[in-house]
Amino acid sequence: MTSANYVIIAYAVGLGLLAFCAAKLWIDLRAAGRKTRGRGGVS
Amino acid sequence: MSTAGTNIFVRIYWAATVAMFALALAVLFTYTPTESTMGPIQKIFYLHLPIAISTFIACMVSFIASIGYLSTRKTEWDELAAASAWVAVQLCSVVLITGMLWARGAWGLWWTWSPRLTFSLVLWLLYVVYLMIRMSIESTERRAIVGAVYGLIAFLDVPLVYLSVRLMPDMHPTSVELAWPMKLTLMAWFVPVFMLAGGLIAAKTVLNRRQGEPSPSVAGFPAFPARGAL
Repeated sequence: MTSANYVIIAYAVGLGLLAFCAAKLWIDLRAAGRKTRGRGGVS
Repeated sequence: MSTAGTNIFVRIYWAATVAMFALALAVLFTYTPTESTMGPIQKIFYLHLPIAISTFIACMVSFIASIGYLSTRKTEWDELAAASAWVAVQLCSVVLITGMLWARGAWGLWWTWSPRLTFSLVLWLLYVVYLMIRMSIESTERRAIVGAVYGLIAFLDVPLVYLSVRLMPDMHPTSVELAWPMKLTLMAWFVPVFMLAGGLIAAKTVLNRRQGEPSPSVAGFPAFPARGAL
């Protein structure tokens, strides 16, 4: 494998993992927000 | 600020972060020159270093928040400490992965037990254990106290990671002389990575507060039976 391939894999995996974390957090936040509203809390 | 105003600010913040990442990628692949000694593999550096620095900052935020909790016993500090430790684990994972890919391309091996690499792996393990300890304790107050004390101890590895390469013989580069276009690229990467790290810490803190108990999962992995510690 060439050096350029390692660079592409590093950026794809690194940024992909962080994007996954951010997306998961966003989904959890939306779910937590719905639960809060369902309890009659913060709207 | 009203909820609607906050939502707009959050959307703009994340849109700006994504735009800055796109810009940094464009700079990397169209403008940045190839380093003469290492060749194209050196380009991993522009992601690896900002994320490593962000890991240290996340650990430091967790450390400061742990001190804050122990001195005031306010749950806000505990929520921040847990959120920062969670982000530190994610960032440190990326540091280790990108570092291994760089090592394979530059040195021909995936891993070597050099001081910096070893202390970095220990740092990742320390904060993974921090998250696991929190998940294993049901009592909110007890979890916060144990987490804060452990957070103080775990942070002691950060200076070891930083100083190891300077105080001990190591394959890992210490400081690299960069040409101006390379410095510009590095700055272009520091901005979105810091924005991402700050945004993740803030979002995770809000999530911890909304849930009133630990997050049900760590980065998408199934929760432990005893929920609630993150």
